[in-house]
Amino acid sequence: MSSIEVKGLSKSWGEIEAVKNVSFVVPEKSFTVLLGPSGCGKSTILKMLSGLESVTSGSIKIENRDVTNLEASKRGVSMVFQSYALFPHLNVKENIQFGLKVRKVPAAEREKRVAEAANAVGLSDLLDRKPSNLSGGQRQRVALARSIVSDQSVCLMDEPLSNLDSKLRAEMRDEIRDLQQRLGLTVVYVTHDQVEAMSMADQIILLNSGQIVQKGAPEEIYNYPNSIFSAQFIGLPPMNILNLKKIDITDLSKENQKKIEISKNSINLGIRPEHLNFSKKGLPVTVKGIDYFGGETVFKISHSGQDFFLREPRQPKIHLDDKLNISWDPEDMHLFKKNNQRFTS
Amino acid sequence: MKDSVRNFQGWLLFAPAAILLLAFTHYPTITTFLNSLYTNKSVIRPRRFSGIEGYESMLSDPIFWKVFANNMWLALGTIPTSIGLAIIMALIVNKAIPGRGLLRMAYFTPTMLPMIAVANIWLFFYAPEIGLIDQAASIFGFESTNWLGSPSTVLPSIMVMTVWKEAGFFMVFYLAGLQTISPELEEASKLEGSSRWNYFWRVQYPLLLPTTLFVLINAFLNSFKLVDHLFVLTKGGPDNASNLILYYIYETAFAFLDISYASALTIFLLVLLALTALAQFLFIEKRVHYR
Repeated sequence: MSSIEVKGLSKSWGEIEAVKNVSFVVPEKSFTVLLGPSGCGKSTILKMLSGLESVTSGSIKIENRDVTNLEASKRGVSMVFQSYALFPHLNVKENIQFGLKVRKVPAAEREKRVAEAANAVGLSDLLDRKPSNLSGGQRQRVALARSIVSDQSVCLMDEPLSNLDSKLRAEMRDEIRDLQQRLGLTVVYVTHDQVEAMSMADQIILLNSGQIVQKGAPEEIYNYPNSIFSAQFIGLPPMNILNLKKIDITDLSKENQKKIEISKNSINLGIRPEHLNFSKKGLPVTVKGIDYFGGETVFKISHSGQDFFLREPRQPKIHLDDKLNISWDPEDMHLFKKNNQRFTS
Repeated sequence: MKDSVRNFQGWLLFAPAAILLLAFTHYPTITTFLNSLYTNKSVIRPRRFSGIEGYESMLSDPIFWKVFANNMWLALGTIPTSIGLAIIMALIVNKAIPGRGLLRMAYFTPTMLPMIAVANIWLFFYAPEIGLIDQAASIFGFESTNWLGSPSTVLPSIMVMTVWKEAGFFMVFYLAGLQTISPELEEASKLEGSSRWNYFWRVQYPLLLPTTLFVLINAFLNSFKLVDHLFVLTKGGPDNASNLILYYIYETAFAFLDISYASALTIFLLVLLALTALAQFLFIEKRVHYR
């Protein structure tokens, strides 16, 4: 069953089209990430889902109810804001129960629900604190508790982790994912961080300049990017894209040559850094940089003026300016056509 | 470098501020205080020490009590109204409405005008028969009123003018206060089903409390400081009905040439204002800041 159904959604301000004809479905109790670079329209889409932004055209259905023109508070959604949007003059408890008071929930029930929500995010001991006396992670939890206490089945999150340091971000990632599964929430989560998207999402919707580039499970997008944009946005370092004109195909293995020949009009070859191997035969390259990260080593290598990356789990004895050869398996190779779309046979 | 040289340099850096402060604040304050303890010097009588006599005569001076009461009524009559208006105006011009810049300027214009010019404008409004207010009133058949000439209407008339002059100034502080409130707070409360009114009372108003207290103190001080308009409009009259402390001090010193009594009045005003400022530092700054 689908929880959110978006059809042909567009948003424009005068001449500027921020969102162009976007359609997608968010299954119930799933975690969907809207991913894209800044200015791609992902936050605008979220705001339109929440009702804080009006829709230019298209429709939004939440739990089979058309909410396109319904006001924000009647849509049955809660939201976690990028800056948490905590009320600085209210303590944690008052912040959590703000919405309950507005909706005139009786005091006894309010107490119970606040206690449950605070417990779910581990804030029970901090209910009397003001937001200014909380750490970034704790403020984040208050925002989550406020969203949980509202008991709405759909929770929208707008880059909730972008103000935290990287260690805390990793912790909160697990926590949010865990919370979502425990409480059976339907989450739509906006981020520009592909690591968050890959690690949390059931479904990623990748956006660029107001349009959907690709949607699917993380593995699907990672393994079968439908375009150069997809291929390079996800993965770190991004997928290497090599111009086939600058490669002498006879350097490659027979299988690779065959695969390239089948796709006659492909002009670019894509290959992930971890799928490249140093080998005796293959494409000749020069080592131009070595970044050692402990668990892995990333080599910057160059072939006929094109720089790209190779990732090794170990630290082989290779030095700068060494001249080596690289090879890869044909199934790891992606081919892209002139219009930057994936070639499929 | 030797310590003595460093000390000397330190004193040099301190000197400009210290000299200005001593010459124009501390020295006059002390001489005023001393003057209040002595009688006036005249051709036939030399100056003599009189102690607190000046202050005692202040307590038994009905005009002093009258102008003090006037000042308090002025504060009471203008401050809540101008603060209320300032908040409303700030809320209006904080929204994205067409012509916002123009409206902001219009609200702020009275503040930019010198008080003397403001008084001249209002003199025309209040003039009996030919004034704007009376002309408008005559259309509806009301009789002409001498707004500034009768003891019962003169102080309220001055209050209205003061509110007109001050509200725009306070609006600027409220506008600044409103703009520090993150728009996400409004979105968050909207999502929770909070009405505009509820959002104002539960979020905006409490967050504007520091601004309100700052404005409150300033408005109180201003109500004692602003007297320029009295020179143009009423000269304190009729029968001291619009006289204020500062204007009374001016009259006592420069019209009646009673320097001793004027000094005593000045010290009273100084202590009153200093206590108000102290209240701000000690009480309010601690209580209101939630950050």
